[in-house]
Amino acid sequence: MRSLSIAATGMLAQQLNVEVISNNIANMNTTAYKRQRAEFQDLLYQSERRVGSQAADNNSIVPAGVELGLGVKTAAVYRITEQGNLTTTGNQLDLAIQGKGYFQVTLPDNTIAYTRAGSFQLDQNGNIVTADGLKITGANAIPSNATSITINQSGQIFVSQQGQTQLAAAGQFSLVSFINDTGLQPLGNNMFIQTQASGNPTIGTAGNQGFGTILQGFLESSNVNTVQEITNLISAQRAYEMNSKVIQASDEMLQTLNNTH
Amino acid sequence: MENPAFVVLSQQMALSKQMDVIANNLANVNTPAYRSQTLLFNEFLGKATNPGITGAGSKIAFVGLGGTLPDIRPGPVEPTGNQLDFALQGRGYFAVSTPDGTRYTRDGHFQINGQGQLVNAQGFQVVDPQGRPLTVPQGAATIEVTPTGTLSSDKGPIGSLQLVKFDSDVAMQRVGTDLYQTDSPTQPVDPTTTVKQGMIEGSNVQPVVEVSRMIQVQRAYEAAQTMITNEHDRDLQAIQVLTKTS
Repeated sequence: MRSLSIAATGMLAQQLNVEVISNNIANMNTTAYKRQRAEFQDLLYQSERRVGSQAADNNSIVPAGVELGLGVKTAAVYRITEQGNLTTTGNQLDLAIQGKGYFQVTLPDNTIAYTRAGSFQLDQNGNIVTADGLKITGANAIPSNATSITINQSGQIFVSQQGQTQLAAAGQFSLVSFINDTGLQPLGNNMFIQTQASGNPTIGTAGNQGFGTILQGFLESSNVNTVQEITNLISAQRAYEMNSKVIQASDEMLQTLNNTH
Repeated sequence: MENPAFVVLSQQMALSKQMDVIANNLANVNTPAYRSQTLLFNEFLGKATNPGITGAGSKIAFVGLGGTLPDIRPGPVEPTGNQLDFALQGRGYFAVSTPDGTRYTRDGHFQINGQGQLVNAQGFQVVDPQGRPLTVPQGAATIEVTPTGTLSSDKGPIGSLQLVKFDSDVAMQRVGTDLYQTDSPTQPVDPTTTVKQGMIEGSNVQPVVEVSRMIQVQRAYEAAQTMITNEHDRDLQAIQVLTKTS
């Protein structure tokens, strides 16, 4: 009874599906979280009777062979990079990217990570940093006597200082884009690093072609659609149950054999 | 003498294969572009072991495996919002180049590899009508596709997806990982077949149908077993009655 092991692959796949869905629901309030989707593929097939083989002496050809599949496997768990909703926060260092692009963050080992979660803060030196204290590329240190910070749609930073009428420029956020966002590797803490699959980053300015605009005082919410996740959860659970029913039915079929005599 | 038992045995073997097919369908209920299969039984005529009988009744029908037929109705198209996900609406396949030769798929979840080439989930190159890989220009941020499968990016044109159809979707051989293989010649797709970006075709497995079929198979298997048991009892009784000597 191969159906026992085939159904087991189905249960494993649905279990992973539920894990992905539960991670999406757990991150429904995570800034700039992109929901994930598990993708499955059918496993190998065993040909019991090959398509196109000769059926009999009269040269008739088998139109459809007997191909028994051996179950399912997980091909990928990939992110769906749809724009999340923008929520206003009023905080002058909360930045949302509307459209394509990532902020660049310098990790402690000096490599660059990428994030769309723009809930930034100032550190003790006036640097604009992420919630984990990592520096954002492009922004200069904000002088300590600054009264307010203004960031325009292209990511240019201006500060107004006590006793000065003119706004002083304090750098500009640059954005990067990837040809294949899905190929970025998540690091956790809303950050990603580039991989071979994502391609090399293209550095550009917010608002230019191929890049989104930066909005001050907004945050991008997660693009998790709870209704959709719950319906996915229900269908994953039912699919799991159906596969376990297959195991049960196969088991009962074997039992039929054992119970005779 | 043993013929009824062997006939029923052939049915049981076929039913257990059908159970495998149903299990595979249910395991692939979430596999993109998966086409559900049904196992077709056919009659296999064997010679009766009773000597002396000719003409009608001289042959017994066993159950044989005819073929696995795919349900070629398209699966539901699901939006994913990913610009490298493509769904085919209408008959046809994408072509991918594998080390074993060209394979065909309807699973349009593609990615870009380190060389900028369009590849499928296993990393096999998706090819254009000339069989060449499709290379995305360095630094391109957005990719657009026309309904006929021509890809372009903000940094220039990329090329066309090879879209093909075959005489028979039924005769395609499955090689796993959503790929199909065939010896029949490729044909250009109908003008009504279009490529949809940001969408993926789902599996066309209908769980209700599969589960009810599964119950049917299980009960038929049990009925066959009862038949074998009864046949055994009948044999036993015949031996006991016929060998009574007093």
